[in-house]
Parts: sequence; C-alpha cells; structure tokens
Amino acid sequence: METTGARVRVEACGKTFPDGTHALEPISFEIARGETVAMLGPSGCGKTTALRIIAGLMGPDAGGSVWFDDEDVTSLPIERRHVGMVFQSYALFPNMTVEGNVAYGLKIRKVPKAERAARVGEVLDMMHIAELADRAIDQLSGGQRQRVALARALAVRPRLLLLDEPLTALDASLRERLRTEIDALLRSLGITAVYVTHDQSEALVLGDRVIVMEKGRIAQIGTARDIYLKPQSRFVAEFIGTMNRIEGSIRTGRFESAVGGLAVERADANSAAAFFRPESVRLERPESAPFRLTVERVHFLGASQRLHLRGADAGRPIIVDTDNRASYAPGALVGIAVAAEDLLFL
Amino acid sequence: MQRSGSFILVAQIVVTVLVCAFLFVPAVLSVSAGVTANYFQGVWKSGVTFVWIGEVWRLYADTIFLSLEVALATLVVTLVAGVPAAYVLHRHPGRLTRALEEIITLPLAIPGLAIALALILAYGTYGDFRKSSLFILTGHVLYTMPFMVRSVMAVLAAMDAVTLEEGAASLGASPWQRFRDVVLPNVRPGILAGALMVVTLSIGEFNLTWMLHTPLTKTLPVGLADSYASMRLEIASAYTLFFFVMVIPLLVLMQAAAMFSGAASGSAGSRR
Amino acid sequence: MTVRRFNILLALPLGAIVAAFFLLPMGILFLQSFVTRQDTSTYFAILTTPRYLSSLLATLALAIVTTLLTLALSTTVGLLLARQRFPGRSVLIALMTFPLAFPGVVVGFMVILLAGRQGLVGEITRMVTGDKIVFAYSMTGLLVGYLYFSIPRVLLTVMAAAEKLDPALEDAARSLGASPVHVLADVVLPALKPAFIASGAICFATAMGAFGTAFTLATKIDVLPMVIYTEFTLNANVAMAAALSIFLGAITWVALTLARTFGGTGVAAAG
Repeated sequence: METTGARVRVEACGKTFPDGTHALEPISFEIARGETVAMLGPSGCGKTTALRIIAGLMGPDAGGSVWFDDEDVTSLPIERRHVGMVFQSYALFPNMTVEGNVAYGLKIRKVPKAERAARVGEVLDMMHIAELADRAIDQLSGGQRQRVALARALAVRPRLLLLDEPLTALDASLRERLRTEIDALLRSLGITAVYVTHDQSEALVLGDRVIVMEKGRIAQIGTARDIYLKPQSRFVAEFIGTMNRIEGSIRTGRFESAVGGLAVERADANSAAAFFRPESVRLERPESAPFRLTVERVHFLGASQRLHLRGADAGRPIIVDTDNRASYAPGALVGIAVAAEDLLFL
Repeated sequence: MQRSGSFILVAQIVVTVLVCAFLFVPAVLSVSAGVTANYFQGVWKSGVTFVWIGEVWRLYADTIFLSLEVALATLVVTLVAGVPAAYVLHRHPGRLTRALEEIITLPLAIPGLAIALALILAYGTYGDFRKSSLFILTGHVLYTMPFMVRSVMAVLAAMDAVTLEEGAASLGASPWQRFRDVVLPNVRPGILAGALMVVTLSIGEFNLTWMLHTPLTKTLPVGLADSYASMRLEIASAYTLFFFVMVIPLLVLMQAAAMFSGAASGSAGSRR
Repeated sequence: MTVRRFNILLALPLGAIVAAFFLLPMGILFLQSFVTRQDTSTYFAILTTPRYLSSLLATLALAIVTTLLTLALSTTVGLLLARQRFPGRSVLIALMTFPLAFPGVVVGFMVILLAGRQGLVGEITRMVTGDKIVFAYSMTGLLVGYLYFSIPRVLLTVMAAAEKLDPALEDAARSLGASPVHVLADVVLPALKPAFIASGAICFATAMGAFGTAFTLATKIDVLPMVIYTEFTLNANVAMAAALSIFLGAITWVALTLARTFGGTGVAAAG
C-alpha cells in the first residue's frame, strides 16, 4: 500500500490562548518526506498544541504558518488538509461498526463503493483486524480500538499521519507490542508522521528525529542518539534517561567539587555542573580516583547491579550501573571515574 | 451498637411504608373513584361503572386532543430549536453561549405564573395569537426547552462529542457532515430522554396554561381544574384517570430509557 | 460555510424564540411593575401593605417547612432504598417517582381525596372518634400537597448521591469504632450535604412558586402565587401583579443560584 507523504514545514508557529497563557512560543522546524518526528516533553510543554496546529485543529497566532510541500495550509481547517490522525481517546464513532469507521473518510471523499470496500479490506488486513469488521466499537478491547483508529487514519492515504499519545491508554505490555508494530508500519509505508508522546522510550524508538519540548519551546531537535548522548541543556539531559549531576566550580582548568575533582579543558566558572550517565562510570580505587563517594544502597539486578552513591552533601545520590562481578557493601568508600568524552558540562 | 443500628433500620422501614402509603393511596382512591357508581357508598356497595368515563369523554374529549396536539407541537419546536442549540452550547463554551444557557434555564427558576403574565402583557393585545393555541404552545416551549437542551448536552458531554467531531474532521468531514454523521446519531439517547420529558411535562403543564388559555383553548389540566371545582368527585376522578393513562406510559418509557442508556440521560435532580 | 456561521445558524432558532418570547416579555413585565396609579412604588408597597407582607411571610414559612420536612422524610426513605435490595425494589422506586409528573392541580385533587370533605382521613376519623377531620382546604392541606410532589424529587437526588457514596467510608468509620448513629451523623449525612442543598433549593423554589395545588384546594389561602393571580384577574392591578411576580421570581432564582454555588451542579427546576 502506497502513501504519498508530504514534506512539512512549521514556521514561527506560536499559540496564545484567550486567557493569555502562552501555550507555545513561536517555533519552526521541518519534517522530511517519509520522516517520523517524535515530539517529546512533559505535560504542558506545548507538544499537543504544536500537533493540533499542524493538524489544523487550531490556528497558530498571527505570523505563524504551516506548509505541506509547497502549499500554505495555515488557513485550511483539518478536514481540508488531507491528513490522518490517531487520537489519544481514539475518537471512534460509536454509531458505526469497525468497517463503518474505517470507511468513513473514503465515503466523505466519495470513493466509489467497490473501491472503498477493497481499500477498507486492505487496511483491515494490514492491521490484522479483518475479522473485527462488523463489530460494534463498544465490543472492542483497548488494543483493538487502537488498531481500528490507526486503520481509519491510514485508509484515506493521508499526506501526513498525526498520532497524539496513541498508546497512553493501554497497559505496559500491550504498549510495547504496539510500539514495535507501529514502528514497522511507519517504516514500510514510508509515510510522514508526527508522533506526540510523554514516554521517552516511545520517542526514542519511533522517532527518526526527536523534538524535545519544554515550556512551549523546542529544547532540542536531533536523532535519538544525539538527544541521549549530546543533550544541549540541563533540561534535556535530565529529562531523557537517568543522568547524574555533580555541582562544583571550574578554576584554572580544574573542575572541583565536594566529592573530588579533575582536569578539564574549559573556561573558569564559579558554578558548573558535571553530567554523566550511570553506564559511563568506571569504579576505581578511592585513593587514585577523581571522585570519592560512599555506597548507600546496592540493587542487584541479575545481569548488572545499580549502586546509589552519596557524597558529603545531601543532594541526589549518584547512580552507577556496573557488572555483577564485584560485591559492594553499604558504607564502603568507592572511587569513580568518567571518560572525558562522556562528561558533559551544562 | 447493633441495637442502635437495628433501631435506625426499623424506623426507616416504618417511615418508608408511611411515605409509600401517602404517595400511593390517593392515586388508588382516585382511580377507584373514577369507576365507582357512587363514591359516597363505596365501590362494593354501588358497583363498578364506566358511566363516568363516558361522561368525561363527552364533556372533555376536546381538551385531551388539544393537550396531545400542544405536546406534539412543543416536541417539534424543542427538537428543531433545542437540539442544534444544545450542540452549539456544548461545542463552544464561551461567555455568549454560557449566557444563552443561563437564559434558557431561567424559566425553570421563575414561577410559571410570572412567565405567563409576561407573555400576556407582551402579546395579549394581538387578538388572533392570544386566542389561538399557539399562545399556549409558546409557554410550553419556554418551560420544556431546558429539559431538551440539558438532556442532549448531558449526552454530548458523556460521549466526548468534541473529540469525536475532531476525529470526523480529520477524515475530511465538513461541519454539517460531522453534525449529521457523528453528533446526531450518537446523541439519540439524549434526544429520546428529552423528548419523553418534554411531552410528559407539556401534557401536565398547568401554571402557565391556566393563565394563557381561553374558553376555546382548554388543555387537559385546565379541564381538570374545572372539573375539580364544579363536577362530582366521580367525574373528576374519571377525568384524572384519563390523565394517568396518558402520562404513566410515558413515565415508564422514561424509566426504561434511563435504565437502557445508564446515567447518560441526565441527573435525577434536574427533573421537572 | 465556516464553522462560525454554521454554529450561528444552528443556535439562531432558539435565540430567536428566547428573545421574542422570553426576554422581551420579561422586560415588559419588569417595566409594567413600575407603572402604578399609587404614589408609592409597588415594590415598597409589597413590604408595607399588611396583606402582601403577610402572604409573603406565609409563603416563605410554608416553603421552608415543606423543604425541611421533605428533606427529613426523603433522606430517611432514600437511604433505605439506596442500600437495601428486595424484590420489587425498582418497581417501587419507579412508582414513587410518578408524582413528579403530576401537575399541581392533580396533586391538589389527591389532597382532597385524602383530607377533603369526602376524604379518607375524614371517613376514618368519623368512624373512630365520630368527628370528621377535614384539613384539605387549609394551609395544612397545602403543606400535604407540597410534600406530595416534593418528596419524589428530593428522594431521587438523595438516592443518587447515596449510591455514589463509597461504602468503604462507612466501613472505615466503623473500623475506628463509630456506632451506626455516629456513622450516620459523622460520615453519611455530611457526604450527602451537596445533595441536600441542591434538592432543598429546588424544593423551596417549587413550593414558593406553586400555583395549581393552592388553586385547586381553595382560593382563600393567600400564598403569593394566589395573590398574584387575584391581583391580575380580579383587581386588574397589573403593576402589583407584575411586581409580585418579579419579587417571587427573584426569590426563587436567588435560592437556586445560591444552591448551585454551594451545592454543586444539577440544580434546576420549579413549576
């Protein structure tokens, strides 16, 4: 099944609500043909507002524009943008069967009956729900509803597929299975897609690129790898995955903190913080290591173990993931080192 | 501890039985009086008769037909004006729609007598209108409209009409297509509950109608008041029996509809 | 067609009906209430003329007593019906709600059958004591009639609220040692307060404005709606009838609005 994905350009789209709140500062970005972009952020970060503007459910503030290929669609309502959308609550029509729901968009487009039936059958097959065609919506499970919602959005062969937290309503195991399926689907269809989620694993798995949003602004755009390994702000660093932080200062080429220090090639700063991931830490002898901390708790996880270390200050513990060989006792002093390329100063 | 509990229960049962008796006994008396040859002697002595029912039909059949006509006309107006408005009120919560919602609910808070008086002062001099049953229809529409609007709005809220409509819009449906294909079919339980309510209330409406009617436009409750004041008890009872026969099936249907569609038909507190 | 225009089109019929047949007449009613032949304003007269003032106070007293009695009875019955399961329960509840749809005149007739000249109470008291007790055509009769149509409405609200009550709350109170009386007083009744306020206000407003029952029972009982009716039809005192209507409407509206503010949603109704 082919789809013709559009190139999408969002230009200076902001949104101020009538009560004066700025849900979205003017943001700009482009989505390539066939690319999946995941918009990630905590609730209230503006990701859903951005999606609704792209969809046409909401207009941007004056000055903003949305382009599909070379067409300015800013003033088109959603029904004339030829997109497909999967809603968080699915928004399946209870007065129609599964088949009726999936066929609805084609009916609106006056696709002849025979072709309509063929295309509905095709999409239902693709989503593995052909046997549900005559079911009423209230007879479906959550996972089945999700599939119907996706089938309905895809049946019209949209230029752009918009997914608004499509898996949030499902339980964890189902969510993971459908995540894998959606990933395969998006790759095989080559459709342009925007996927809004607050779940970072969904964003990292599904997004060719991830847009991390914070307080109505784009915090960072990049591949999953970039976002995880090269976060450009404290917010991104701490929002994605587990991140350790040691506060201190930089003087004459050395980072100094309450738990130790090391040489860095950075300009002096009265206040600086070193960031690193639990898996980048090397455990060393305390006397020769740059940082020295006390073991507070040990979680043995089988293949690995996770240590919670604490320095003199009462801040957050330092988390360290290590192999299962050595055994650590709470109260023991350990030394840690982090390779220069894994250490970020933000 | 157990003793105080069972005391409460016994007291509750006693009160409940008394309240039930209070509610049911007069209705039963009324029904039996309507088919009793002579109420003063009692049904056992004087026997069962349908004379009074025949008499009521001869005297008051036209009020029954007028009540049915007004009720149906009220239903048509509340459907045509109320259902689309309920949709707009739900879909666009704003200052203007909020004000409109408040205004249409006002006839519930203001006694019917006051509304009737206002209508007479405003339109009483337009002879043809004043003398026609349209004048009564106007009052009934004002009084029953909030029930239709609220009943539909309750279902719209329960079904999350906004998202459903966005779903239809994302598939290319125009505002009219969304209203026709998605909103109307799914709001049917609310329309049904509202319709039953409107017809029931219209048939029983007295406060407005008494002021608005003319000797040639008497509805059933107006005729009832007339019979209570001037007819013997058996005829008044037989006439009341007609009212029960018209309204009770509607009430039963309403209960069935409420059970069928769960709580969607609106809270119990907003009835009448 | 834009969404905006489509919506205006949909709301237009109702807007037109409301404007022409409610707002305009109510405006005229308001203006008419000032058009008087007397020197003093009609509103001032309501509060200074003994006849109006006494009927206002009597109506208020009647409405308040009706509300309190209805709340007490309906709560007692409602709590029982909400918890106990017995055969025929749903049919019983359905039957108890029927009086909701009875117009005031029919309710008045029910009171006549109960306590009128040929009424049940009169027959029984005549057989027992030899004296026939007849109270249908008095304030007591009116109170009985108001209870008749108020009880079902409050009953429904109380039952709906009681059924939503988390039974774990009562279990928790009992686990802390509370006796059934305490559970009722400290947990159940406080939780039902919003329902009491909401349904109590409806009950009060309905009792204030009710006309049909008083009309059927007697023209001698001077409750406010009856006074309005006689002012308009017999005395042709349009200004006073209008002023009393506005006054009465304001009282019921304020009661319902207060209840909506303090008792949550779901408040409406009066007839």
